[in-house]
Parts: sequence; structure tokens; C-alpha cells
Amino acid sequence: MARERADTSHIRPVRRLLMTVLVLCLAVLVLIWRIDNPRVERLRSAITDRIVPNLEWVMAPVTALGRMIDDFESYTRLYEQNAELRRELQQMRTWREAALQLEQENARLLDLNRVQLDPELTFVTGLVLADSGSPFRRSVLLNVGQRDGILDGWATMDGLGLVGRISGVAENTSRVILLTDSNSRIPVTVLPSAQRAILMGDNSAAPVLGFLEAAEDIAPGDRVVTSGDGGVFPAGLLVGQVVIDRDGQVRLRPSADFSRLNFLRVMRSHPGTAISDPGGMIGPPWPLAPEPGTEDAAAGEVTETDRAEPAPPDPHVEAGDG
Amino acid sequence: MARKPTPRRIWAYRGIYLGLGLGVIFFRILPLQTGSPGLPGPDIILAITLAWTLRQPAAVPIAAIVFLFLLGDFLLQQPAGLWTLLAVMAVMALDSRRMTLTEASFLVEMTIVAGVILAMIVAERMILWVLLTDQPSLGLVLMEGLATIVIYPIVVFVSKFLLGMDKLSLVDLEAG
Repeated sequence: MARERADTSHIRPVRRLLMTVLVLCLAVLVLIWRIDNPRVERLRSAITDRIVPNLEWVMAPVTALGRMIDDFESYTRLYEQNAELRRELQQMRTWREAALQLEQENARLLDLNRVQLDPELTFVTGLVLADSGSPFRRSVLLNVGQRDGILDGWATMDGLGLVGRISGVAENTSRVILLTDSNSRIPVTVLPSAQRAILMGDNSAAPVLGFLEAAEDIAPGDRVVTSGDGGVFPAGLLVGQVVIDRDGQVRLRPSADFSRLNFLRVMRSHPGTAISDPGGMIGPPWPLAPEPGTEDAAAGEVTETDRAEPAPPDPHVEAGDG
Repeated sequence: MARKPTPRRIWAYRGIYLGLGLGVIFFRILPLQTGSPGLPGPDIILAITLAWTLRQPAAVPIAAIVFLFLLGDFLLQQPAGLWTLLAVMAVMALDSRRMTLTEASFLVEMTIVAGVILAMIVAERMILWVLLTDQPSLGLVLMEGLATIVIYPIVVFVSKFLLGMDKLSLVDLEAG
């Protein structure tokens, strides 16, 4: 003991001081994370952006291997799966026939009514690079980012249903918060009864449908689509089906296959045109005196007459103006 | 008892520590389990850090600990710096008690490590509560802590018999 004290007597206090400074720095980092959260989250996505895409060359093979092992495990159930698929395919053929007829009829009716539907949604497809790596967060990292024009808040789907929304965009990557994350809240409509609800993730596989007006009108199997409330999401994206759990709570089984997220579509949302002015008076055209509001029309007439009087009227100009 | 390891061996341990840590983070962010929320696995990096702090403190320099834990905090979507702060404080606490722990039996060591891990979890929740942030569910966090405690003997076993890492004796401690 005595020897140690003699040897390191001048090192120990320095080390202790350094450790204290380190602990203080980390505490300050936590405080900054709490106070100026957006800045730290940007730092986080910048760090992720630097590291994860560089690891792609090694992550891709390992991920592929893991998925192959999963697939291999499902070979054991190949026979029953095959029988099941055949049965489903048979049913699907009849459904497909019905759907085609309905689609044609729908197109005819829409054409008769001259209905203007939502503009066609376009999308950017991204590859899932990484997941959140923690049991407390449900998110995945896509390999598309600012470079590809991705914006915060855009909806993300797999081939079939809604998966989540973009939250955090870096140069080359963007993070998708899944429906099942406990921070996810999405306005939805339950279809046959057209009730509005909020889809609230709770880290389980089936998020909760909350704020329902009349939960007794909801039956298991009802379709749930996005409602477009709040202007964040386009309306009418398929989300999933209603299920009711043992406690009688209304939950949602997502249509997207969350266990196999590989390619995701980021839907480009066009912000809807907002109607801001209350609308003007509509009436017959008056021979009004030129006011500041009608300056354009008056100015047009003046130039026309100005040009007409000094020179004989030019037939081409007349025709063009008329 | 154990001879003092050569500097080369120490550097090998440091390399193993960093490599293992990076490997663990890397495997956790692989997009293999995007679906059903599985049970939280053990915090292997924490178990290794605590075990090696008690055995070969030179093998886990504080810079490496801070680097690994901060990287984990940032990449795994955790509160930035909080878990790092708690890990550094746990390492400091164990470091100051190493004199008494070198001669103690493994059961005592295990108990103390379990206490440290539980204290870290409680402290994390307290700090998050004071900072008014939303917290992960207590059950999952406790399960993660218990898994870490359960895996601790395995980590010790592997480092003792596969990596040949013995506890430093009191003589070595005094010399070092």
C-alpha cells in the first residue's frame, strides 16, 4: 500500500480530476440532449449517416444470410404452406374476377360523374439498411435521404400497407418510425362505419385504435385506412384490419408484413392547397369605375385604345386580342 | 497466482474489447427483427466492461468505454450520453473497490455487480423522470438488466478460460 501511494501519489489526483471532468461532460451532453433535442437528434442522424451506409458491404451479406436461415426454417412447413397457398389462390381467382369487373364499373361511373380524385401518388423506393437495435424503439433506417428529396413526415408503405412515417432525414439515409413504435400517432378511418380514430403504437405488434366515437360499431375485420386529417398523410392508404384483443381493446393488425421489411416505398405527399380567403362577391360584370382592385382590366383597355388611335387598327392585333 | 500480463497481451485485450463491442452494436442494428418485438437481450458490452474492470482494468481504458457506449447511445436511439454516464460512474465505483474485491469470492463479486447494474437501471429511470422524458416500460428494462446479470458469469467464464484473464493479485495491483 505504502509503495503504491509513493509511486502514484501524483497520478491519482490527476486521474480523479480527469474522471470528474469526463462525468461532467457526459452529464452536460445529457442535458443538451434534453434541452436542445432537435440539434442532438440531427447530430445523431448525421452520425448514423456517416457510419451505417459505410457498413453496407458487410451488413448486406449478413442480413441476407439471416433471412436465408429464416427462409430455411420455413422449408420444414413447406408442404402445408403449399396446400394453403393453392387454396388461397383458388379463392383469389374468383376475387380477382370480381375486382376487375368492379374496377371497370367504377371507372365508368367515375367517368359519368366527372369525379376528380386525388392526384396520383408517386413514390421513392428505399432499401432497409438497419433497424433501431433496441427493444424499446421500433424504427428502421432507409438508404434514401435528402439527396433523393425525402422530407420529414412522408408516409412509408411496403407493397401493401402503411409501415410508418419518415422522422429524421440525413443526406443519404432517413429513419422511418414504424406504426408500432410507442411514439407513433396516425389519424385513420375505420371503413364501413367511417369513424375517425387515432392509431397509437405501443411497442406491441398490434397498435391500439384510440379516440373512437362508437367502439360498439366496430367489428373485427373492418378495414382501416389513413384519413388524411391534419394534412400529414395522404388519405386512403391501407393500414390494416381491426382486431379485438382479450381485454376487449380495439387494436389493428397491420397489412404490412413487419417481419420482412426489405424494400419500402416513401410516398411523396403533395401539401393540399389551403383555402385561405373567404371568397369574393360573385355577380354580373358591372361597368365599374377603375378601382385599385380592377387596375389590370382598366390598364389593358387603355393601352388598347392608345394603340388604336394614333395608327389604323392592325387586324392581326385585333384578332389576337379578341 | 496470476502473473502480470505483458503489454502485448494488454493490447490484445483492448483490441478484443473494441472489436467485440463494435460487433455487438453492429449485430443489434441488423434489420433482422423488424417485426414482432422480441425479448430484450442482455447488454453484453456492459457485462464485459464490468467483468474486465475487476480483472484487468488496463484492458478496458476509459476512452474505449466512452467511445463504445457513446456510439451505442447514438446508433441505438437511446438518450444521448445517459447510459455512457452511468457506465462510467459504475466503472469508477468498481475501480475504487477493487482492493477489497480481489480477494473476495465470485459470489460476492456477482452480488456486487448485480447491485451495480440494478442501481444503473434505477438511476437511469430517476434521471429520465427528473428530465420529464417518456420512459420505456419498466418490465422490459428490468428484463434487460436481469439478462445482463445472468450473462455475467458466462462472460467471466469465457474471459478466464478462453482468454486466460485472471484477477490481478494484490501484489500486482500494488505494483501497477
